[in-house]
Amino acid sequence: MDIVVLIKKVPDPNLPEQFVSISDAQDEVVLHASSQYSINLYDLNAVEAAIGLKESAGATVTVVTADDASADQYLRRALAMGADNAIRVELDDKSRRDSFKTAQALVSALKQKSIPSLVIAGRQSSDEDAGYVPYLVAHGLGIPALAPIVSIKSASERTINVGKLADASIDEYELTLPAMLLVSNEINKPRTPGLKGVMAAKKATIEVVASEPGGVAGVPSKYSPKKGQRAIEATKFIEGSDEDKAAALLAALDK
Amino acid sequence: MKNALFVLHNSADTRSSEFATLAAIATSIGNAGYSSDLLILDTTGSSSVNVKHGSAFRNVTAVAPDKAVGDGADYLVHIVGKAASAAVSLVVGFGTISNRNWAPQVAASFSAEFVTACELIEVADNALRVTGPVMGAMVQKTLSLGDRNAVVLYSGENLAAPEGTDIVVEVSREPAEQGAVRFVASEALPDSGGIPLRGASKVISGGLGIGSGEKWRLIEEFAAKVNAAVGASRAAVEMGWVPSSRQVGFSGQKVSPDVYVAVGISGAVHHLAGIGGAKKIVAINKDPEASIFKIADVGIVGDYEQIVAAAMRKL
Ligand SMILES: Cc1cc2nc3c(=O)[nH]c(=O)nc-3n(C[C@H](O)[C@H](O)[C@H](O)COP(=O)(O)OP(=O)(O)OC[C@H]3O[C@@H](n4cnc5c(N)ncnc54)[C@H](O)[C@@H]3O)c2cc1C
Repeated sequence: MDIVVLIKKVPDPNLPEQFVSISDAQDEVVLHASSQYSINLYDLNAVEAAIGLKESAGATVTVVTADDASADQYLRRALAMGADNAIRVELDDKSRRDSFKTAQALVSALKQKSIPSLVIAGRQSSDEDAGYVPYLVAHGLGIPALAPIVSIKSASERTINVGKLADASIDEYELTLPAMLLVSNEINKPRTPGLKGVMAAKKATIEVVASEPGGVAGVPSKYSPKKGQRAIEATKFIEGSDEDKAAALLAALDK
Repeated sequence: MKNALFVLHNSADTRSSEFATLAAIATSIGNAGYSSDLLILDTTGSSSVNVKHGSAFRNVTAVAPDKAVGDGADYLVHIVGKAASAAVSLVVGFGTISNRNWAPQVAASFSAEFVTACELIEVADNALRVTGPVMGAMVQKTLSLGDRNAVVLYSGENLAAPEGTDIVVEVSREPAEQGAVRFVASEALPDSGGIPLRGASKVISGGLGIGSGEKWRLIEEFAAKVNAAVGASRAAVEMGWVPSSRQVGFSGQKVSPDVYVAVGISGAVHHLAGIGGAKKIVAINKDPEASIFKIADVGIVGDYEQIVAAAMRKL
């Protein structure tokens, strides 16, 4: 099986609020210069899922990101975990903020190779949280997509059976390959790469593919500060014994 | 004149507030020249649906699959895709797990903007403006749609129903396509089940402060006793105590219950992003400085185990 994993560099999800501001023209979110970045956490689950399939069923795993060289460290991390190849689709900062342009760049890079049998991505990224790019890529490749995937039950060269989270159940689906899966954190615990893997990944070559983002673009975004906190007159603190507190809790619940 | 298509999954858990909210949005975007139709996926098994405030829509249709399709996450890719033919420039649904799968696929096929968690749909200069949180709810993002097609999932507050009447529509069978994605079977989630989070009027949520998977039972038992849905912080979900369909917050579900009880939850912005619509918030936390108290109507400082156990004894 030929598996492609899509990963993304994101601002550290635990960035302190004072590091996040909005440009004067309101067209950009500006992060403080000392802000840290990381790989989107769901994408680590995606890498782990691919490597799990490689180990159980045999597969070649290629990790792909659309970014500049600052994202190479995350590709190397995936290589250290056990991925075979890494591709960076060179994409400028402005285009990267546009779901359509990002997806077009990824699709044209993937189409230069043969269409993979399986594409795995994280269910959403922690910055925009839109969860749109994988579906745009799936559309561009002409393959179906399904999310959020919480288990892989079995896989063959032609089909894959997965568990998809629903409101009150986990639903099993069988997908005919090629297909796109967007995975959630329940699917696995991403491994910590061993020293040997890390050393080898340092020396590995990352294939760089140029992109010409054209075609459709998104409408411009306008950013504004977050909504004010929920307005309350005053918090009524319940004093007294645990019995008194329990009684107040039940009263609030109309019991 | 533009056409909008609203999509609602009508199941045993669908609340009248969901019909009211969609009808309210349909009425308000009428002011920007949109005519709205409503497409209902009905999985109640009955032959007709009583559509509350249905007169707010130009046309209402209800469909049911000819076999089990799970939550409709893939079935609706095809059904909505067909219904939202070239003449539709806006598709609106709620931000449910199922909708988050079909909606971006429909959007991709129309090169439409896709908004995952829209909290505000406004009419400005005869066009639509949609707003939702990004960057862990630290920032709001607004798109002015102009002539652009869009698929918008709404997770804002419940809206009051516009004036109008209910209508009854027959359910017609729409066969599930034999596509590349086949639903096999549903398996119950590894939680005690209980009231779904979506639309619940009371929610008891637990966080990392609960301490263990065993102790999580106390939350489930208490919730069941007071007829509340179980919710959770992401930290509790990550511990594996509870499935992520119960997660409340920025990357989970937005809830607007009458009473929200946060037990052992610190009150991170990401969590608060999911509970802004709650009418009353009760917080139980052993740390009197916890940020959750800043937005709570009722604050209970103490060890939740003792307090919840005492409450259980009183029921
Ligand atoms: C991009 C992104 C998206 C996120 N989305 C979400 C989301 O959708 N929902 C969400 O919830 N989080 C989300 N988070 C995580 C969020 O930032 C917090 O980490 C999380 O909400 C913390 O969960 P918690 O309050 O349960 O845990 P903690 O912050 O660890 O709080 C535990 C609390 O329990 C209290 N406690 C401990 N023991 C007891 C006891 N015996 N009795 C009473 N109180 C006790 C402690 O005082 C503490 O306040 C997101 C984070 C990121 C980066």
